[in-house]
Amino acid sequence: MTHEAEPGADGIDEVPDTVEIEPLSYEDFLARFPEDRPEDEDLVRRATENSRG
Amino acid sequence: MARVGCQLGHVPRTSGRTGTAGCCGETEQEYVKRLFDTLEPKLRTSGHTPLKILADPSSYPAMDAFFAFHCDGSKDHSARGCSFGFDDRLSSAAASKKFGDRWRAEHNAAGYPGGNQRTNYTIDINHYYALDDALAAGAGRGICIEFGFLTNPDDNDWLIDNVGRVADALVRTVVAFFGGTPPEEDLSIVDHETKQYFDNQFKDVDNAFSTVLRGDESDHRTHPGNLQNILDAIETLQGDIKQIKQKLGIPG
Repeated sequence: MTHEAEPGADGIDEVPDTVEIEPLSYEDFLARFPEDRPEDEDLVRRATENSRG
Repeated sequence: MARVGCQLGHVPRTSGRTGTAGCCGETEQEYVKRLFDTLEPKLRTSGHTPLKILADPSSYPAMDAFFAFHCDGSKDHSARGCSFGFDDRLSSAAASKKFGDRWRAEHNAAGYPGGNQRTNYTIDINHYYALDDALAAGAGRGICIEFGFLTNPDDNDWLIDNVGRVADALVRTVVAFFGGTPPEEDLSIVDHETKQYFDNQFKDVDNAFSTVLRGDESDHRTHPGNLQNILDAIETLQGDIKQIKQKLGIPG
């Protein structure tokens, strides 16, 4: 799924960005991008639990 | 303690790249200004120095860390999710990425429910114009944050109702790298169902009673109603009781 950003909505360019939009839960995000995992495991646990809504 | 540069995305531009208008009444510029006003005292309490930076400053102040505050916008109102960018061309890239990874975890731990976009998910956020300026001003860690999508009604409502928690996540990120005192849990009444419950509970007692959510405006209060304010008020009343027991001296 992609989305077209509003002109001027973010960053620098006024040209709309088209990017992949597949928001991941924090748990799935870390599974897909393990290099983005912070060192504090207690924080990771709280982030995983609290962001489930 | 750290000098923390906080750039208010797009503020105060009125033309060109002015930011998203959002979906539901609050613009990106309005939100990031309110977020800074909420963050500033919290950051000072934690022992650090907040530095407000507008979108197009003539120069950047000396600082140790840098955040750029942004919210995303999309024509597709189902799009949502938080992310951050760091510039992988800069010497501070590794340190900044760790800073951002920590912020993302803190933002999720604060309860942000909108999910996660990958880091540096657009070239704009990856090569954000102020990151090299911030590094030149001394910020060894600098990131551009997208807190969520103001064009998504669910993201919009959560970010507005929980601006205190959004601010606390930023403070906790700073404390993790620069020391200081982490904020206490934000006890604000954050959801409309709870507000309605309290209003109904007190309706029979006082028709004038009204619970104020953080961010609401009121003619009668300068601070939003929250549990901490209630506890402070009780403590003040206890102080008054002590005064009643004391002798009252009237000057002659």
